[in-house]
Amino acid sequence: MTTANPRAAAIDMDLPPHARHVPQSHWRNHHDEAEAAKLGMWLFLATEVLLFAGFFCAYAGLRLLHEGNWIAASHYYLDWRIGAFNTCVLLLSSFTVVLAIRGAQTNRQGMILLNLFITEICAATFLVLKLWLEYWPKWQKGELVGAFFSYGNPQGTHDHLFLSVYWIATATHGFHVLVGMFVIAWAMWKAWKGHYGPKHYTSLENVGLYWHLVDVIWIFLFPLLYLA
Amino acid sequence: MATHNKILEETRLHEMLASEEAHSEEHHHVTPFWTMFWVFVLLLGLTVFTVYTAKYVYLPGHGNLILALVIASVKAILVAAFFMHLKYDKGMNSVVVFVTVFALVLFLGLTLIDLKSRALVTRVEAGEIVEGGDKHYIRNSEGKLERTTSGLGVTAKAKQDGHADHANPDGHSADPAHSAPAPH
Amino acid sequence: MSGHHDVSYLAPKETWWKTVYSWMFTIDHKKIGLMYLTSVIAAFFLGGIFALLVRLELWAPTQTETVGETSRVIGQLFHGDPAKGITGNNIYNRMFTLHGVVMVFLFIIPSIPASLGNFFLPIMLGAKDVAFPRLNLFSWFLYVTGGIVAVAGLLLGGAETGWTFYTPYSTTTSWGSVTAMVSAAFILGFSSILTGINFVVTVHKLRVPGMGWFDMPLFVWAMYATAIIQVLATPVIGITLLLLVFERIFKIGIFDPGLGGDPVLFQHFFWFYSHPAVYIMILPGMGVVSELIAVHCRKRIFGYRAIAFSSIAIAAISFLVWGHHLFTSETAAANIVFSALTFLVAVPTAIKVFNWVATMYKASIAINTPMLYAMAFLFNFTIGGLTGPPLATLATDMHLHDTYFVVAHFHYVMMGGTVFAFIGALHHWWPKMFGKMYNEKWAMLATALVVIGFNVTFFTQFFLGTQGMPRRYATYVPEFTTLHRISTFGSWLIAAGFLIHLPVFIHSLVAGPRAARNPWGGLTFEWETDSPPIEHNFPHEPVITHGPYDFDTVVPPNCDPKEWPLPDQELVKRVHGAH
Repeated sequence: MTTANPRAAAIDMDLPPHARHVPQSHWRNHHDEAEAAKLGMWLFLATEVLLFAGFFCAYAGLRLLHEGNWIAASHYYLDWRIGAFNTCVLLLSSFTVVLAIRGAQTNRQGMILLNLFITEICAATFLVLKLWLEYWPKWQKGELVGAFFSYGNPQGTHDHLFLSVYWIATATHGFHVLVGMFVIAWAMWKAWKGHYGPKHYTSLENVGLYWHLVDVIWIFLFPLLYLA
Repeated sequence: MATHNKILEETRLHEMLASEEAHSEEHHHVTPFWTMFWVFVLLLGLTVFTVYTAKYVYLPGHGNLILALVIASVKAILVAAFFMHLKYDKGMNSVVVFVTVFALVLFLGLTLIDLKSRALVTRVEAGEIVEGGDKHYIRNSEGKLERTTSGLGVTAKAKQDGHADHANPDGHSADPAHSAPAPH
Repeated sequence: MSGHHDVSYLAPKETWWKTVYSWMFTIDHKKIGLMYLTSVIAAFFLGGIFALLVRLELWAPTQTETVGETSRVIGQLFHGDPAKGITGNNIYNRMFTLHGVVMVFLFIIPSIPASLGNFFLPIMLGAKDVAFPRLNLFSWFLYVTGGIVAVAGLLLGGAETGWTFYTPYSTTTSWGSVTAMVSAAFILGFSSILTGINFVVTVHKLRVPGMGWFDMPLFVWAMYATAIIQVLATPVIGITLLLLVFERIFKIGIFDPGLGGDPVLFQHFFWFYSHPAVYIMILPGMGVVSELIAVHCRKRIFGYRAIAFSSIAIAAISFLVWGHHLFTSETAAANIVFSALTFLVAVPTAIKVFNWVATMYKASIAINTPMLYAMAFLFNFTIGGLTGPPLATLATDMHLHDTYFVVAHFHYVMMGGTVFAFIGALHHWWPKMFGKMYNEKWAMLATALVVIGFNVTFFTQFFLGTQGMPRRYATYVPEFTTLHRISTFGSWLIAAGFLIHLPVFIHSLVAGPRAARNPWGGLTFEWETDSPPIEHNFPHEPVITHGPYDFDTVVPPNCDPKEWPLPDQELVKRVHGAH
């Protein structure tokens, strides 16, 4: 793709990978490249926020039209304890991501790997609980979206609307959690190969930013859906 | 020509390494472990608080919803400022966040102005208007909505008070001359 | 001359497959920009064909024989029975929908930013590439994918809903393939988002040292403002289209009144993106016009900071006004709010137009194709802009909504504005991108046909609109026949114009004269590079020694001072004050 980076010739190959990272040739130095990558990641997070904004707006609009039914449906169909536990699981995963970055900053490779691993476990727990304790029973009982709603004991005339918003909002969030798991796994692989250290941990930081956003979105989804 | 290129490359390399040295100190602020730990504990605490207020604290109107959103916002700010390092970053990243949140607020706010100022349909759905409704719906005896074309609709209170004047949903007569309309 | 071995970005590799590979997987912003350019031009011609078909149908008040015949053919092909063909109305619906979808999503949104922006933004900043070259390539791949899905959708019958995909028709209709068209728009949206992210970071982080924000060309300011809108607004169309697809497939009911949902909610969602989207369309055009007028009038742009800030102001205000597209759907309270906010957007826009005109005052105006298009922009975009307030005013909008007045208004701003700026920009930067000059005489003839044809086509539509002709109707009352025929005739003039523009460009590539490095005497960094530029744009990092519009004090780079004399410096000092 590009011609060989002339800077690569000047690097000492005995250093670990994170200490011999070479910026792409259009950057003046590593600092600019890292800051730019971070700014780019924040802009991407902005787009994710506005994507989820659609769910929140749909929630607001439909709740306005069917308030009583909405609240009743929230209490009936959703168990706040599962939601609260999942919230705490995600908060823990955010904390461990921060610790993983700290590991890179202080050049403790084991700390990076261990904390990323715990983050993965938390993410998996979130998804498993969601699928096993929420989605699967709902599927079986017919508590589904819109016209597919076939549950025998509706609380009002528009339960299916609440469930529509619940299903698509949490499913899209869950999809982002799943993507996050892949991305964290990629970061673990890079950490394993020694790519993260005090002088260079940009992509780890950016993976962390993505993961924190996934957490923040859930922080808002939880009270709106489970504690309406 | 080849030596000229080599000299150019080495000069560039020199410049790059020099500017690397100049920048190497500033990039890496390391947040203290205990700061992060207490932020984490605070986040857990606020989660507990959210559930508690939702279950045991009753606020009138939409108060509970607003309180829950306020607490969620505080949690989000904590995550953004500390976990996402915004507090210690250069300002531009925070500008991105503010502008995004502003766009979000605009989107929801202005849309809700429209949705909230709708009159009859929402009031029927909310159970406020129980009868009539120009080209809209009433609830029949089974609680189902059905179409009707009789006037502007009557609220439950108006019906109770005997002011079932179809000209105005609140039961007041549209025509001041008719001060005591007949009960429905 | 630099005397080094860097070659032009257009130079082929040793073997043909290496050349193809180098283009398919390039991370060079110039190659990517060029690939976008060919695609958007192809999309323009495709959308144009649909437009010609639409206008052809409208030649007669009732269904034309062409449409009837097509219907019979389709009926025979797909159902074995000519009588079962889709009716003329269905064909017509698809024609205008596809015209809209192709023109909006495949042509105009990417047009200037992805092609010329990609090519010239880094060069104007003195950079070697955009901030994230691989992301740029990914944006291009997404565009190609979206294009393929769109063409597939087209072959599956397109859609009949109008490019606005309003519910409940779009969620319930089985005509055509709404899901495919909507998916294409979704994918294209992500291409746009990633380009926006790239440009914002490039402007922040890759300016040459010494270039402050107010030393940047106004084209860069325009790209930056556009990028902000791309990043903030496009995700909302993403979620909107996603919800639309969920509604179609899973019947979630949020837009379906039968299930308790709200179709107007869709309109809010849709226009929250689509209004800022029209500023994604026009802002780059405005950036281009700033460059064209400054260079071809050889005059410092009047009110640089005003234009720069106005670009940002337009981007900001664009998010406040989307409700003016739904005046007939929303409540009175919302109407009042949105109408008042809409009037605001005229202010920074007008500031720009006044500044451009002021720049031309007492300047030495070159008469060439780019300048002709710049002047055409000023005239036509102003008409488009002035016909906005009647639509922003509630009382008049009640009558004009969904009539041809709206159609004329947005074609004046989108075509009379953006498209004219785009073609002007193409001619302006053609010698730089390809190192070849085009034939000015034939290009000017084509310009005349396009501009005159455009006004014939769309000015008549204002009258159609005020007299009540609704938009998206295949048939009409006989009283409108004359105006429709004039409009259709105009469309043929436009087609003729573009059918001359295209061969002029092709001839230039094949047999055109070699272009100089700075044929127009511009002062921005691109005119310091080779024509066409070398792979890394500059042999050494450029040093900024003058502002982008210092025409009265700086001899243009790579130009003979005798051919580009500076004005009397004493006069300059008196007029502008000491520098």
